[in-house]
Amino acid sequence: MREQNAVLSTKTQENISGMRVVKAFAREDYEKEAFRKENREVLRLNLKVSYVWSDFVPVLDFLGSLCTPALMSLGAYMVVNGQLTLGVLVSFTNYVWMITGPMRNLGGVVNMLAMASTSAEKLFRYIDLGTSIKDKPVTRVPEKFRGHVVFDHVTFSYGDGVVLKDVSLDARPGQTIALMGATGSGKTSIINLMARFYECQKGTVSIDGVDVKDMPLQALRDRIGIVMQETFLFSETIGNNIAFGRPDLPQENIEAAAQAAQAGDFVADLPQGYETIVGERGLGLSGGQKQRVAIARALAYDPTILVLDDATSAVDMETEHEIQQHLQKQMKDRTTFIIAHRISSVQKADEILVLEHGCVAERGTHAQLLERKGLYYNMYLDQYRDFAAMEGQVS
Amino acid sequence: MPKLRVTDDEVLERPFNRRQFMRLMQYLKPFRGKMALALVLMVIWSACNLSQPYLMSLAIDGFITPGSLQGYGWVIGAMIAVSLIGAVCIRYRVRLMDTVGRTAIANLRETLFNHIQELSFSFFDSRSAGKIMVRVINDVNSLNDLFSNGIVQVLIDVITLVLLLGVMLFANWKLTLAGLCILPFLLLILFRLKRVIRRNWQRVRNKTSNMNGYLHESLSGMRVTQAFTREKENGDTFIDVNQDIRKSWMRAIRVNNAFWPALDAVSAVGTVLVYVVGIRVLGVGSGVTVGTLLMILMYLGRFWEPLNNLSNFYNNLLQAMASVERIFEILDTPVEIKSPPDAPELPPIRGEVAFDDVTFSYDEEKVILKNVSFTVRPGQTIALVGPTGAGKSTVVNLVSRFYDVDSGAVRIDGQDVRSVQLNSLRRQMSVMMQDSFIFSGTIMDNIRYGRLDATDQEVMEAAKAVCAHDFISGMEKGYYTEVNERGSRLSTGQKQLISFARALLNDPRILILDEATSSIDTHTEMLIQQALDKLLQGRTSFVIAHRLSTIRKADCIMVVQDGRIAEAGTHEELMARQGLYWEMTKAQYAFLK
Repeated sequence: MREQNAVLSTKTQENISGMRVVKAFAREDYEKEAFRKENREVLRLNLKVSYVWSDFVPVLDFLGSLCTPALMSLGAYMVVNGQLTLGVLVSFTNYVWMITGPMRNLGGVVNMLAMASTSAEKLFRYIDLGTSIKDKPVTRVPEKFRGHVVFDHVTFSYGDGVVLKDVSLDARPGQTIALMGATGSGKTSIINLMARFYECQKGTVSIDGVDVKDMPLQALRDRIGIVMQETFLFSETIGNNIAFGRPDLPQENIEAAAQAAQAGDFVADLPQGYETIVGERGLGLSGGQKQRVAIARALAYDPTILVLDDATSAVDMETEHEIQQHLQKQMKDRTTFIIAHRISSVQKADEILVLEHGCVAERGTHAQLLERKGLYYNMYLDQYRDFAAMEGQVS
Repeated sequence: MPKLRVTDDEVLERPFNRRQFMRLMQYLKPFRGKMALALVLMVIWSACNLSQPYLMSLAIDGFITPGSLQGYGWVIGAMIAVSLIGAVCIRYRVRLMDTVGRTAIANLRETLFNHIQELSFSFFDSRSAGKIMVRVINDVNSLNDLFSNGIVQVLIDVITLVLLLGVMLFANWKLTLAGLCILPFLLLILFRLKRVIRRNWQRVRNKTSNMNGYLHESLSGMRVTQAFTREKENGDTFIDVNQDIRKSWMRAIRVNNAFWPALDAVSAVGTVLVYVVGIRVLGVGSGVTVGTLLMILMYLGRFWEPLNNLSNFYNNLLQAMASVERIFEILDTPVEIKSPPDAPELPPIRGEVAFDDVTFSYDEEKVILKNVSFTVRPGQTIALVGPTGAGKSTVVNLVSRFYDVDSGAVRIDGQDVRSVQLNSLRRQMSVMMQDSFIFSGTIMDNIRYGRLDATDQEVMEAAKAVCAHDFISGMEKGYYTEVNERGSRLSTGQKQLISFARALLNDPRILILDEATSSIDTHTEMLIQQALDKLLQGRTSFVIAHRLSTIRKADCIMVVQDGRIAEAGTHEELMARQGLYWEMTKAQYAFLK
């Protein structure tokens, strides 16, 4: 029954979150019918439970109430025969009252125990899960984090199907590495391995000469600032969201990070500025605005390694251009990983890796890859062709 | 994340509001017959319950004290019979009233949900999904007690109290008055102490909902938390939140546990008074027999339950009123966007879209579109470009009538969109938005949402057309892979492809792509483009995109700026004009170079 209630809650929440799709396809009647079905199922189960109770409780009550006539029968006989005084009989009728209460409660306690033990079982299952990724007993930290990232013949799968096959890369401090490739080709997995959200099955991932598996997680992730593909902001002020990784950051640094991410202007335009609460329970920002706040959050973290995972997909080209120009300055002293689809976002990178089905299909600089006339060249053509056609018009 | 940020200060109780209460009662109207029957059953139960003490006194005074057990079996038999009848009555009452209450709840919930389906976007813009869900599920559930037990129980309790008092006074009014001396104290405990207890439990609920909110968000943002190594801080906050609950719980339980002892103490005083008055004051010769004494005491013991019920009902009612207010607030939200009652169906769309001097604003403060006019011929592809927030999405939102214009009109094939059946309008369009939404279910179901009667084959065709077939077949269970909004392993681009297929399956006459391909890689996008070129033939389409390749091929490019169409024309025309569009293109080009 609880499960069915949960189904109903999920159904409702999903319907409301997806309301735009529902309305766009004019599927209101379909949704109503689907909801009606789940709702009636909840009703049916509720009534089933209540009918069981209605069979059970009156029987218990009746059995309990039989105590009095039984007592009065025997008691009357004994009093009349002088074996018992009336006072004792009267006191016994009171005792009977007192005893039925706890007896009824006992049923509740048994029920409670049963529920507690199922809950405990679920709870312990989670507790026993343990953390598959945790610090080793003896950990090592590089002497100084400089941001030298090395993937050495890394193979990785999430469990079903290999995601990365024998991938190697060497990102020197201060370099910019771009990752390109089709949806699902394994770009994000590379980031996940570097920050050790997952661990590779073969090969090693090391930063400044130390295997990430040997590093304390805290120290490792403290040096990596990630802007994730799907932006998540907490129900918090914009200021606190930007300072999420560095809670004690002074206001001017927060604002500097926002400026660098091209978020400063629109935040300043909000009536409450950096104090505006965003996230699920706050003001709704547009996709591009959220991405810019997330970029500011990563910059404010002041990481040695900066990761931009499709971080500007919802931002228009002009804004992206401006963000990139600001980032150039930021990227100078950091190792940067960029995942992007636009050639314009990646062409200045020191090395571009084009992934295909988990393998590195091509690698090199923009110029080298163009010469190769392979995948990258085709992508370039796709995007560049439009401009080539109007060479004369814009220059 | 400080814990207070996620607190919603929901109003937890409201004074009794007669109008709203009567309105709520409308939902019980269909069940009048069942409720009347339940009431009759309960009156019988009440009578049975009250006859037990009388039978006791009869047994003692009539048989045991005189020492003659002739016919005593009848008394015992009556005791058993009365219990049996009472139990049967209870059984059917529970069934009847639970059916009534639960069904009324289900009906109310459906009414609410159905109303929400009709509400316009502006309603959802200002409320989170979670908050609306709480209305539909929790607030409605909290009326269960009121519906199932509350209303009928109040009547029964009042009847029981009257009967009880009558019988007691009739049996011996002096003893009754002695016993009822404690009544004022009793009422004080029941109604004042109960209130304090209720307030305390509300505080516990408040803190618990704080924790739920905090937990929900922490788990949703776990990746961010881990990436920024905030696990320890979040753990500390959770300890605080958890401790808050513990403290408020302990406070509540302390007051709560004072209730029964206080009640016992007061009723013990009542018992003593009855004994003292019965034995000392009235004395043996006054006609107060052992049976009478016992009977009065037993009746006195039955006084608490109905009174306790009434005070519970009162507490329940105040809480329910808060929920009722929130439910009616939604039910009273007018449906802003609806078709006129006698509106005709929109015939199959040819595809002419016209904006006639359209002005629009989401709220009074900021005008988004100012006197926009344009006409799109059937089958044309229109690209909308311009900076973020210029009003591109607004234009397409008005075409599918997600909002209504402030002045002017949007016409499709010469018909004002406000004058036709809304469903017939939207069913002929597909809108693909920037945030693609995935319902929980299989991929097959998700695509089929576009056209419910599509065969599996047709679903796959649509997936092939948007180049989603390859990655879907590559998944372990292919089209039958279960996906959902959170936690599924679909990438953003893959989600977009699925909703793209969904839009296509609908076979729309007007297709709207609002940054629908922003997270799809260039190569796939090119493939989709080729498929689209074919598919777009004969359909009017609006495309909002950043990529020049997508924009360039449009029959007409409209540059939207500050709520106006600043420029319109083909790529060549606009380039030749060397205006805004030319500037934008140049900027991109310069960067690519």
